[in-house]
Amino acid sequence: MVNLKKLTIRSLSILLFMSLLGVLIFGVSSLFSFLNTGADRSKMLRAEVFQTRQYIPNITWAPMTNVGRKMDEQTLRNIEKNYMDAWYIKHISYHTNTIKGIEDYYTDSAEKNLFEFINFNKKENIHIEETTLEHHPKINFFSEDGQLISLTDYGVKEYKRVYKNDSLLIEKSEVSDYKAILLLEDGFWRIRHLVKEPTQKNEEETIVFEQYPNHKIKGINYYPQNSAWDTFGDNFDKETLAKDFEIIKNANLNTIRVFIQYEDFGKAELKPEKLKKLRELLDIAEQKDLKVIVTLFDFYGDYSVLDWTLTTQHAQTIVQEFKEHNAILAWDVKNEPDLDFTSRGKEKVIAWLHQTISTIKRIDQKHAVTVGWAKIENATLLKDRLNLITFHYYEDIALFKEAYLKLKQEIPNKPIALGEYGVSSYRGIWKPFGSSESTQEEFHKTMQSIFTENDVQFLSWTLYDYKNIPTAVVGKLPWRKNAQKKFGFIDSRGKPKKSFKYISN
Amino acid sequence: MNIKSYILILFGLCYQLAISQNTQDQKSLVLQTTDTVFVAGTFVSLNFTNSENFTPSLYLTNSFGTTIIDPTRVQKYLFYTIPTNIANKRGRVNWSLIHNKKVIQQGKVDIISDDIVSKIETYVGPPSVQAGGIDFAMSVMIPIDTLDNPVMDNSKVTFKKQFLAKEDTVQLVVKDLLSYETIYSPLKTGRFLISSKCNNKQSTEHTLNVWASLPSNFTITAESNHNYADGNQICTLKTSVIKDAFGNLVTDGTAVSIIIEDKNGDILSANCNTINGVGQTKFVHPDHEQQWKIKAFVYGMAESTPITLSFQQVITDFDVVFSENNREITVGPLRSFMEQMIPDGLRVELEIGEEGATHKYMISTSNDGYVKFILDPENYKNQIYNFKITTAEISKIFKNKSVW
Repeated sequence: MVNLKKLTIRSLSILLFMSLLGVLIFGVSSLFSFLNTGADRSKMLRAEVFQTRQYIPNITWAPMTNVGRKMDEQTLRNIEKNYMDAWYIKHISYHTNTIKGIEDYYTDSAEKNLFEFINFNKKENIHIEETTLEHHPKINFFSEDGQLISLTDYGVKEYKRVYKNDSLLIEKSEVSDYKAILLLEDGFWRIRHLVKEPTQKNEEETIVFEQYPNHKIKGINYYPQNSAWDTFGDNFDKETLAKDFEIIKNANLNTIRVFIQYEDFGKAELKPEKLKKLRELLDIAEQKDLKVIVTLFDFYGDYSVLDWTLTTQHAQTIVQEFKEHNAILAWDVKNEPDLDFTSRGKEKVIAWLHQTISTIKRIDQKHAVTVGWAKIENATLLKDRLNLITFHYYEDIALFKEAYLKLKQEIPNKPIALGEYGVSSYRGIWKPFGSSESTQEEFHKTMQSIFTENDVQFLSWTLYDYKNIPTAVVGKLPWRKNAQKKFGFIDSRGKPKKSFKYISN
Repeated sequence: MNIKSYILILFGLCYQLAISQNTQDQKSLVLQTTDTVFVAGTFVSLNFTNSENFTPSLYLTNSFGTTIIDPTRVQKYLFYTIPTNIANKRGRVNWSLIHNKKVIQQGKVDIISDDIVSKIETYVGPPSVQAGGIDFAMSVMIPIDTLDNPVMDNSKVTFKKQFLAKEDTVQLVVKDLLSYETIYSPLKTGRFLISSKCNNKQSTEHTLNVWASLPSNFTITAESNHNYADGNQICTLKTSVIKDAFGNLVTDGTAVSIIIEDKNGDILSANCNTINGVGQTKFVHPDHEQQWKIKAFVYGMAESTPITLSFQQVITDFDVVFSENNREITVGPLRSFMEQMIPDGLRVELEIGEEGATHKYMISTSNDGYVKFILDPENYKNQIYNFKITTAEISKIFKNKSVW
């Protein structure tokens, strides 16, 4: 007995010693390897320059009919790059009231004009958030020695937001023409003269609304079960989509809502493989006779004026690509932008939405444009610029009918749809008194009866229970994450839940 | 009536009030300033009468930027003094009166440049052209006023150029902020002097050089004291004066390559640069009878007519003496065309042949008409050798010579 005790103590102390030794060796070796990690040889010379374009307004050159030297493509590209950078640096300077970088894009004589402005604004505590969205330059003259150009930039679409003492005084959209002379100085095309000219263009934009199609939305928000919030990710599979769309179709639904994530799709420079996947999804939807609401700008939250050219590129590339697709029902500009009102400022968000709606409408007059408002009380915002009103409802269902009818009264002449609603069937360790499958069933039953009674168009949340949810969606908190997993009509093993009976009417 | 209807009515009233306030804002403000065009640098002020008590700000945007100003108020008058950074710069100025984040009135004024020109920015390029009337340069003139504004379109610019005895004057107009003139090259080389004038201002002088055009074909000559192949005399090759098609001397430093092909088809070459149109280079005569075919090139542009030079053999025979156990071989005397000793430096080659081994060579040059080869015992052991001695393309063979 004594022996056994002794043996145990001995073996325990040996174990302790060994593990201490292990920790020590590990510690020393990590320190050693850290100290031995020097600079990467390949990066010593900074030979690689990764440049992401920060400012991409739409620029359309007029056909080259200039006097003087014949313009070649390479020179034109350099001019365009430097000229756009000159605008970009000007926007930054007026925002921050600093002069850094101006000397690279304006000649010594021209930069004084900007400095005077900046000093004036700085003194008056004025700053300006501004951007330009469109340029239509025409080269008038290119000197024979290739060192000087004169151009007229027609229809420069400017957006400005002027602040004094950090409070917004005015936001303005303007269209102007500029004449400019640029000189080639040590490899940079620099602005020497800039003159604002009387413009010919109409400053008012008109939004064309085509007839909204005769389509009563009975729909569902869709992610594949194995790639929640990542429809176009690595798990993208046409067969899965076909199978799921078949289920949706057979459940007597006619519409799905899908999400395009801004960064995932490549921001301003869209990734072709993502567009290909989106096309495949739309093709399958068309085969299954489903209409699709495409939600752009998911997970986007910047809204700053200087970011506008990039978001415009993003929206117009996608809309241009798919505006002829038969499966498209509507473009949902952004999912729940009203949630950003407090963090980003309501004015900024609304101004961005306003601009993005114009972008989409300019390219595609055929399909409806909507915004997926998180709160029904925000659904009247921008109503005159949208041709389908959608909102999400996760509040008390007892109040839904009243809220809906009130909205209908406020916007009597436009179709309205409930873009998201649903309830989680999660009950477990994080939420012991949460709802169950039966309460979820009850919820959908009630909702469907309201829909039938009031002729409500709807898109429910969502088809599947998910196994994994990205942290970006609801954060890390397990009670939120787990609840979010159980909103589906079909459980994680692929079996319809009780609520499935009430997926449609 | 329930409470909801009250709220609705109240809301409606407020809305109505807001609308009427807005239109009232507009009506109460009247622009008094009638001018819409101002010369840059003058005092610009927009004056309004305002029957109401609020003070709107004025939003201003011009060629270079945007700002907001507040007025000075004297009774019912509002004076908006346009800051100099806007009043001094040519271009359209858009203004908007703003109140409560709304534009209540808007308009525009134009700032035009001053007629007084302070400077004519002139850009002449390229700095030189090639004579012949095909090549050209361009002079771009941007007259600017005292506040660095380009002058208005349709302003007149007088352009003057002088070349040799000729002076020209051209009337130009400013279009798209600038005026320009293309200057074609004349047939002769020289220098243009360029100047321009706009309103009151005369520009400084600018120059444009006219260099010769491409060289045309030329001839080549050879000069030498005699035509003996003595391996010593120097032959000078000289081009004629190289000119372009219009009789202008090519620029100094034009590269000329001279290529010589001998009777064996081997090539010799030399390069030179022209001075006053002439390029020259020198060659040493060959040491044996030879024929050179010579041609010169300005690569890609011009070439000379070819010439031929012949050299006579001077050495016809020589003596060879073996001494010191046949380990010392003396070649000579080597005599030139007047029986004089050949000048130092003639090449003599000794080939040493040995049974069953590769041949060895010793090469030396003449000194006072003689060449001496010494076979040292370290390298050449005692045995039988075959010798062959060559100079000026003449060979002498000595077989089975014993060396000890």
